[in-house]
Amino acid sequence: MSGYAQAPASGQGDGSGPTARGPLLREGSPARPALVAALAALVSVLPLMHITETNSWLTAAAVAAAAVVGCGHLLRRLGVPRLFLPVVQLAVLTLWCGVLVAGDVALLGFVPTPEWATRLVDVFNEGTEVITTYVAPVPVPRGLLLMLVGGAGLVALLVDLIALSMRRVALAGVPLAACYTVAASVTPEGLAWWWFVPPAGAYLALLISEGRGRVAAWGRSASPSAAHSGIPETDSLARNGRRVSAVALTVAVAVPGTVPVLTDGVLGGGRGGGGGGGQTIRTDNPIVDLQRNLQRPENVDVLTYRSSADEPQYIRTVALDVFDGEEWKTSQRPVPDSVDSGLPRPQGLEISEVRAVDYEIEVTDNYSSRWLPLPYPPREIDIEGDWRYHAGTLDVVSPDDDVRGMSYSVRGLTIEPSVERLRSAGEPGDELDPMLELPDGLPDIVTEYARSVTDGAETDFGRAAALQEWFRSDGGFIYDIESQPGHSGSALADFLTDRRGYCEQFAASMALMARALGIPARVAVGFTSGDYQGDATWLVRAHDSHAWPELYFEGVGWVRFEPTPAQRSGMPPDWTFVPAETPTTSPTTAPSEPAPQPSASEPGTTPEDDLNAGAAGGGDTPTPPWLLVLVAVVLAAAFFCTPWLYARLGRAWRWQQVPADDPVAAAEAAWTDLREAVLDSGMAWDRTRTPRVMGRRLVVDAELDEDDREPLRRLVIAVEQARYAPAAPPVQSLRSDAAQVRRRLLGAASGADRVRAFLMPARLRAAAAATSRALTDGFDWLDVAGERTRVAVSRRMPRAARQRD
Amino acid sequence: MAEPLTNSRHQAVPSPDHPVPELALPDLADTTSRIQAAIGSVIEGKPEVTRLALTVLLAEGHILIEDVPGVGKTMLAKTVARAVDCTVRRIQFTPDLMPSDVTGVSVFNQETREFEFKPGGVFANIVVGDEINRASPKTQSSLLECMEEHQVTVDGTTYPLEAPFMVVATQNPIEMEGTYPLPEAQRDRFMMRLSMGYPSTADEIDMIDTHGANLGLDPLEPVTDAAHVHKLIRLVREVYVADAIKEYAVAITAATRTSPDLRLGASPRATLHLVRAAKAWAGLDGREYVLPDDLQALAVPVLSHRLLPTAEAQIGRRDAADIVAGIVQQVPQPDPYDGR
Repeated sequence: MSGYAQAPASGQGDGSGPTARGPLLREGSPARPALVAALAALVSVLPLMHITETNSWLTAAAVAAAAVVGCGHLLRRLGVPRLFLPVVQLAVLTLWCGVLVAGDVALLGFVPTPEWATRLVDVFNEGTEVITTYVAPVPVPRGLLLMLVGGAGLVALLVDLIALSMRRVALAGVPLAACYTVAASVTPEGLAWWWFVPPAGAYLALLISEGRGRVAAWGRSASPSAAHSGIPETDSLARNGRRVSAVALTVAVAVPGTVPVLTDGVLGGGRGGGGGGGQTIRTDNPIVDLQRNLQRPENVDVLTYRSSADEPQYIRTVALDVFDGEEWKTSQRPVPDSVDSGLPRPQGLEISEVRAVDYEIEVTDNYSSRWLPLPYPPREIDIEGDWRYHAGTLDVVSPDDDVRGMSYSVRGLTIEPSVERLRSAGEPGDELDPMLELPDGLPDIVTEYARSVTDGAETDFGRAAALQEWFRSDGGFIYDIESQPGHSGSALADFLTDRRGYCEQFAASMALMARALGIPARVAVGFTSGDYQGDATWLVRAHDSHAWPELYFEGVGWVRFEPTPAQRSGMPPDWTFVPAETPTTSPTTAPSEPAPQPSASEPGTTPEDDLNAGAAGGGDTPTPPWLLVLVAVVLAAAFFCTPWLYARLGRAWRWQQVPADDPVAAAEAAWTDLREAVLDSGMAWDRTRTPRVMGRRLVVDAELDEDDREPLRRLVIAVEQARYAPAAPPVQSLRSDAAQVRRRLLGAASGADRVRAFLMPARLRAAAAATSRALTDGFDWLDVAGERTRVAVSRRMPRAARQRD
Repeated sequence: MAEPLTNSRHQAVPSPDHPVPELALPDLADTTSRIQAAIGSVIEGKPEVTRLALTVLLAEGHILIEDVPGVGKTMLAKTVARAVDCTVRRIQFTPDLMPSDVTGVSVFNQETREFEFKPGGVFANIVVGDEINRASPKTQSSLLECMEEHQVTVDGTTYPLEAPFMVVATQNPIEMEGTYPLPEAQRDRFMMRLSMGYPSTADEIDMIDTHGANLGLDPLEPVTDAAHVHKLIRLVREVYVADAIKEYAVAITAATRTSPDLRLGASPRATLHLVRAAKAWAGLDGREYVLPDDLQALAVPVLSHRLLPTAEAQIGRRDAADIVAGIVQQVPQPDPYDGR
């Protein structure tokens, strides 16, 4: 308790002696800061919900935080020396964790036994195992539960220790921020902006409650209401604090969100400066970053590879093998086995039309990922660090290493199946059933198109080739990187209707349609083969990011298809040409020779690339700087015009709402127009003034001449009649009258007022004020409710308890 | 004693005898402006006071005039009566004035051998109660009862008073020794308290020229009559009061009840008086509906005499009129579209 009550005394001494507290003690118990502390701790671990599959651990974490803080609160009230508090709290936390994971081996469910201790250690080890082996989102076995609950409890303990025992509330932000940072950094796609609000809000609440206590410690207010309730008169102070906090928080969240150009673009972000943070491509869940990479203004280098066969190769980072209706993602994958001892045979590969190719891969500092970029299928990998493979997909991932700046060598296989072999592929085995799963609620259009497009093909392979051909040319699809990202069921239905999208949607749709036709399919994410650099080396850059479907054929295994149109992807794989079954119609997709070899004179480009680059408006060429400046100027202009436009459209909308035969509504609309004009021109709008008085004031203040007085007079009379007369006669000219008066008023206003009217018109200010009012009202309501509860509780408490305090 | 002041000369009055078939608000404005002009010819430089007095007449209220002697309090009352051509009685309140002097008395008639009612000073269209604070509370309250009820009851018989009926009571704020100042509850029955105030220098010089020789009302010709005024009163009753105006009036009086400067706020009767006065005030403009401006203009004369400032306010030299004016400046206008 008395942490706050002693605040003035604590300046001179440690304040822990009973004499130091005596005269400054205030009645009641500051359970509020303790409550806020527990809440803050809990809220700061909330973002971890992102990396777990279920949220059932939250309740246990809440109990842990509440138990730790509540225990500390109680002990402080009982006068236990502060030194012992953390020890007791830690014990309580451990007991609670024991109840959760070792309740069955403890006496009465919580009294520790030797078995209990062993179990706790085991579970803890399981937890570390889970953390190092799984990638997000992870299920919550008891090991991880222990970690999460224990973590929440520890944060609560630290906050309690720092904020309440040591009374260094500002420092309590450190464990909170640390916890939030952990959650934000392990969440694969990063946290949404609004996740920042709850922890920050809780921290502010902690600060406010501390400030309140500090003020209250100076004694009771003389105001009668406060004296009756025992509530210190810090309301206005607290309200101001809340308002400042609300504004600060809003700005902190809104400004980075609304000014995207600040990160690169306008300020450059270290262009050409050796790869600053702005250039790094971070890839934890590649499909999420796909469009981002494709649209990056700078086409940064990602990696180079040297092929012993001197031929280009798609580089794959990860295979997404589960579609949940919203997105393709990776399945739950335990990755226990290291790549050091070689990789297993690729799934389903039985044919002998394969050759081994060696690759030397160098990743630049611009690319950061836990997934290893590899040609498919890899057989042996020579790399430093802890890299592990997943047997089904041959994805290689590291629990803690990053591929940034690494060099490694890979021996891979090049599979060249014949069309006949693919056509004669048998039924896939049962083990591939998961690769055929489709979510409920998949739009019918996907299945319908799959059927109608492949109508006429007799084998699975024929159907797959027909699908690819439909996407590439027959279906009339347009490659458009500007299209909306996403490939949920409904987004794909839109894609199939609009026929406009980019590789993410092409790959996702083809894989889904293949599954609908009974062909096992998954989506691979990675890079196209890149540009030839000479000396059997290719350079892969950010704009080469790509996604493609892989379909499974018994005996051949996973085979790459290429549904994305040629302007983006170049040639489809050789083995997918099926002239006999589905003749191609597009000239660009009907070559008669193998995959194009880059010529020495034009490194890295094929004739098709040149052709298509022209047609696509230079998709890969770097954006010229003047265009960036132009875009920035246009964006800035749009930004600064928005308030004016808002007010302008607001007025138009207001008149839109006025029925033609309603003189009252018209008069009120005109009067509201006038009020905004008055406020915009820097004059005051006094609500105690009658319309008539207001009119007279305007004539004087804005020095209106005779011509302008007449419309103003009409406005005044119209609003008087609308409000106070039994019936208002219609006046036709009100809207133009209001507009005329507005022009005159703004004309008479000072330059600064006119600028403000443009940037921050009255209508916008009113809207902002209303929002802020609603916000602070909410805070006030919470505050009052909290105080009432506190007062009610403290009244019910026995007098003895209060006096001891 | 009651001193009859009846204007016996029935002179040329516009449309005196045949009743006006249908009156409209413009007629009201027209008539009242003629009355105002007539009064203005006698009482110089006080158009606001004249207008307020007419407002009370049309709103069926009563006036309390508080001012120093010799500024024309009685003259105002008599001038109004003369201009309207109605009966006027003046009652000079003294400590020995009896209630029966005000209301009237039943006298035994020896010839008819019956009691016969002799009407008191209150039986007139306009009653001037001069220096009302000099009479005993008992006598004061007999007048106040008549004001409220518009009737007199003597010996069990009720006699209605003529319409229009208006009491113009005057009080002298100095020489308070031996007086019985009206208690607040009784002041509440007056619709307005007016103060004549000294005339401006120019007006006073003008007055010397006009009234130097003759202080009488002889030059004043009546411009209307009691029946016509009665019709005008009925017309004023029809003036429209919007809900927003009612809310505003209540907001103003409610604000006096919560003002920290006031010990006693305005009564609901004050709200009623305020709205009734505002209707007459609007009617004087020929307007058929009340504006918030009307309430603002009338708030001080209608409310201030009913309020009791706190000791702090009195020490701060803030009188009730200042406080009411301040309240009017603070109560927001009813604005149905505010904030949209």
